Amino acid sequence: MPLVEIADLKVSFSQYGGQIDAVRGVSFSINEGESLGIVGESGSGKSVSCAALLRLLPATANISATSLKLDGIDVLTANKEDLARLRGRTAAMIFQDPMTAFDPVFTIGHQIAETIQAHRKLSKRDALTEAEQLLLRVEIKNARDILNYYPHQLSGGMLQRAMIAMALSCRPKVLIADEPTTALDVTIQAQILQLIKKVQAEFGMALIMITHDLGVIAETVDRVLVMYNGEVMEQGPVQQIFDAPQHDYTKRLLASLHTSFEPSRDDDTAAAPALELRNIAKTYRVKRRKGFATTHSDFHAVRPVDIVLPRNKIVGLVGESGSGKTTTGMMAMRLTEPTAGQILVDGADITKLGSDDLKSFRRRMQIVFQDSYSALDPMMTLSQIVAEPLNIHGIGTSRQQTEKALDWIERVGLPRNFGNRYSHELSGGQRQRVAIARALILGPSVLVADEPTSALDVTVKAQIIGLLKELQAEMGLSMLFISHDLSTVKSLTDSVVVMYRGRVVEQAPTAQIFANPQHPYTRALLEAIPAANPRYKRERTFLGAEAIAAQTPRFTVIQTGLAPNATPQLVTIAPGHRVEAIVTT
Amino acid sequence: MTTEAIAIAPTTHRQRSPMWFAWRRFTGNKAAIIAGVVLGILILMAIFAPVITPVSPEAQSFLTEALAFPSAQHWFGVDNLGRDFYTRIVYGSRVSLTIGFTAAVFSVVIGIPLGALAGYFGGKTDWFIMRVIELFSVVPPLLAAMLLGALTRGGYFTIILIAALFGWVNVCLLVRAQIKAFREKEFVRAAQALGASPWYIIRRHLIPNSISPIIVGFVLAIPLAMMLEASLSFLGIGVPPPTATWGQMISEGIDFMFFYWHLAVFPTIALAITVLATTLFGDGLRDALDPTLKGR
Amino acid sequence: MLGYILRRLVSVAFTFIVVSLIIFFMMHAIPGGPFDANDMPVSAAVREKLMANLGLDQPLWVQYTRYMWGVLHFDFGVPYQSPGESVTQLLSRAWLPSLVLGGLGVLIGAPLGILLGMAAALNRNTWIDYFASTLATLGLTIPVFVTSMLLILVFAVWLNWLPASGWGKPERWILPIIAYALIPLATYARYTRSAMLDTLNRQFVTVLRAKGLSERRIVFQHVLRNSAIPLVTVFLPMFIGTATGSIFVEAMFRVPGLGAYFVSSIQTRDYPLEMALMLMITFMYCIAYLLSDIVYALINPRIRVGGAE
Repeated sequence: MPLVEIADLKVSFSQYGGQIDAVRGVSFSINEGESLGIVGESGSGKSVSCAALLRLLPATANISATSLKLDGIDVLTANKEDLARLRGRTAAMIFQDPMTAFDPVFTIGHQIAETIQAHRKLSKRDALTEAEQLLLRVEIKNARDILNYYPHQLSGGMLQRAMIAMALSCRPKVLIADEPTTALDVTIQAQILQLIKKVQAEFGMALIMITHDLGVIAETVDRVLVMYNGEVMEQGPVQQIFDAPQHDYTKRLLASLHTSFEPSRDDDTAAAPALELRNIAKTYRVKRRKGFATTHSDFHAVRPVDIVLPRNKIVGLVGESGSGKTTTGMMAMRLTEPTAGQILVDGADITKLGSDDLKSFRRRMQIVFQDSYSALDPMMTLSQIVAEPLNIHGIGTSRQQTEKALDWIERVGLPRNFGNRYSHELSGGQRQRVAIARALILGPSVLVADEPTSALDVTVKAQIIGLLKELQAEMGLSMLFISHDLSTVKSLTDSVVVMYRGRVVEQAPTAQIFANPQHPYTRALLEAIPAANPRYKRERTFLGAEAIAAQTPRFTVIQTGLAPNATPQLVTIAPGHRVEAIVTT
Repeated sequence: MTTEAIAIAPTTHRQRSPMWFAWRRFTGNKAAIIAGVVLGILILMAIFAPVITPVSPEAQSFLTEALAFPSAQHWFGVDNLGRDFYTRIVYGSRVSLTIGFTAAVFSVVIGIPLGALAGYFGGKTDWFIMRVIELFSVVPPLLAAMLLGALTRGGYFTIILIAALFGWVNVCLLVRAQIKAFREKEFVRAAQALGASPWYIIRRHLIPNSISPIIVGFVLAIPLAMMLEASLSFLGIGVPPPTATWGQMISEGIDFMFFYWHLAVFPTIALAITVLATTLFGDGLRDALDPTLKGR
Repeated sequence: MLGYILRRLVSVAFTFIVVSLIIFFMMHAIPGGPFDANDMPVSAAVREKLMANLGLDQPLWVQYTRYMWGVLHFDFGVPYQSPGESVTQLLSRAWLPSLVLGGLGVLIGAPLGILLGMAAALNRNTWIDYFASTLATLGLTIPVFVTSMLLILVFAVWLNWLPASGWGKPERWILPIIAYALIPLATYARYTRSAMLDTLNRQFVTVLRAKGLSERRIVFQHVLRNSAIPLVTVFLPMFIGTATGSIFVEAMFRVPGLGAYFVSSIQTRDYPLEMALMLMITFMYCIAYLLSDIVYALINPRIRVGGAE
């Protein structure tokens, strides 16, 4: 008897003026110990299907199915006690954002212990001891201390491990993981995925992995279900899906994994770089108060960093959270003031310019953000939004401005009549197109793109990157593309700058970074990228911060032509390729 | 190449501004609609008072029938000084509504700029404005109003000023909260990246996005002002006689309550209905304009 | 933590001083002293002597400092309206009725309000919800003197079940307490309902269900704890507001409490009494806000424990 049996599941939500069909007849089943990946973009219904299995949907949902069984029990007709037993005991679920998944007013230990106590008769003390054991099994070293921590005191990665521990506490037969690593950094993601596979094997559980990332699928599961718009497009063993996809949609998904573009041409090395950041640094003063005394400590978000963006090229700035890449991007635009260093645009120093002088430079450099939803003023129409830059700089009459705005709306791939719409009527990808139009309407020479595709679905991501590439070639733009995802930059950029904890640790033409990474952190980033095909999946080892520091490359005085120095510094080892290294004698 | 994007576009054709959604939500709230209608009737009554009443409110024309109970000729009866009570009640609405609306306007005029400054600039400006607000919250408004009222011996305009003085705090807090929330949004940063000045940003982006709290603050300031006026008149330091005002009529009516209940009951009900209508209308507006609807 | 408390204390003290300054100067700017209210004509010489006696001829700064010094010793001077005793003595009689009636009103109204709010939140969109929400709205919008009047009319005049006024035997307390209880009840019903609905919508509640916890445990342990924070912070200021007596309730029910004395002090321009009452009530509000902030900091783990890993 299969562990999970779903036949013709339909879920619809009643909303303002009608129904929304989220799931339209989905069927699949899972046996004990199997692993199934459900892949689809947002709105595909993948999360809703699994939530329906545990009856976790809100009251506005209408669920119907020929069969919806978990461990032989019909979920639709189950009473409260049966459901309570199924949840947590038969099937456990882990969610995307660990920070909002925990109750903020109780300690981690308490929350894990109460799960245990809800299903078995154990005293609080025994439950806590078990909780500690579980935390150790998910590789949290100081488990005893963590028991007394509150959720807000832990990082995303740690919290996700704690959530896994909580899910495992009652030895469930199937673990449902709903986008468990989407909110995490690449290296942490790789660790968590490996952890999930490990505990699946150890505990002998079945696994349902819900994700939009095909790489995650390739790494973790044996069978795949591809969903789109509430329906199953294709099902099958994972290798088959990757090597011989049948359905068009599956083919599209796979295609967006492998997009590649030619790098830009036009080497105009004689001209001044479009943007140059010299020794740019940002330090925040952190105030800590004890009684009446205030102690200050300095937080170095960005240590002195040099970045050069040549004319007509795309440079990728890559790093995980805390690397300082976004701060650097903000400083380049002078949206955050640098604590030290210089910003040069086309050779002119704009670091200390007052707001009036700066305004004329603002026309030459623009920025596109990650969160397309809050990037557009909800109370303005699209044509107003795109025309705003013209408005602020007083270019053209009101009619001319609208005309130009509509031209640009068309140019980024939206119909002209969208000009009267509001941002909430658009999808994420469409909003991002509008943001790009707004950024480019003044014809800047520099564009800073701060993770513009991170929040988008895979197929849309590819389209937006295609659009950016096209516009860059047409307009001769120089682009600084900030991202946490090395695979995105691979297909777009000419060179890559890797940042780690506020410093540049490696810098090279894109091909070099991927072919010949020198710094341990760059290698770690590359290692962490999920495989593009199941046959390449592998066990990985992970380096902690100390290990990374210990493995800093070492070069001699002779090789580098520099004085010996114990502190790591940037060293040129090949044309255009610099690495942070220690120079020894 | 990029034509696939259009295929995934949503199917709505008509222009749906955020205000349209708000209107939809509002019309779904029956209590608010009824309240709005009642409010409308009251306003009309106040405006057309001379048309719908037989005599002037101060005219003591019915001394022989003083303290008469409601009847066909005198719908609400006659008060102790021989004045037609119905007329007095209707004219009383003028006082209450004018004071309510004017005070609310002043509250908004003071509250919006202060809230915008505090929300946008933060830091010292915010700290200073919050301290001022703290001053106002610690002193119970009614007591302070009484003190001020005694100081200035009441009078129409003073009462409006006093009501505005205590009403602006709410509006300021609402606007400040909204602006603080929106300030970090990326469209504000985008405008900054374009070189817009803070004033432009506040005017063009932040205030239009704060329309909801402004409207809500305005409408909810009205019943507060009306209650303040009624309380002051009740205590004898509000609008001076012989102007008809409900608070004062209630105060006089209490003395006669055991035998001539109509003198106290009618102004009380009039005040209660007006306050209820404005508050429910205001609540309805707030629920409609707040996109993060709680509990609907 | 300690630093936080100390800073709030200083801030509150500062606010209090500023308020006292404002009140003091405002009151002394009121034209007409205590002698104009009477229709007893007083000769200029006698008047000057009396003013000197009461210290009213000194410059305002001096008066203020002497006064505040006295306040620190609980000496508020002598009320004009009953010179036979000190303000302190008068007030010590007056605050009891207000505290008892107002206090009981809050202590009865608040818990009932919380229960009502919980019932509404857990049974969203059913008749229970509508009933509770309507009651809450009515309680907050209908002015307190209207409810007092209705209570008197219905229970005292028409049904003749309960006495309408006075302060003495406990049965006289019933109607005023009901009048007082309505506002806390309505306020708490509203706050509780919206706080609970807020919490119920949060992601961690779904996770709790996914863990297999009983609905009962989820609500009473988790949801309540998370919703409690705004409720707790609002309690003290509300208590102070009600326990200092409502002017209207005391007027309607003829209770000789703080409210009633405040009214008479304004009507007779009794400076010492007015000042004392304003200062006292302001002071109590300051303390209430301070304590609320402290309690909030204690309950909210983010502030109590602070810092991240």
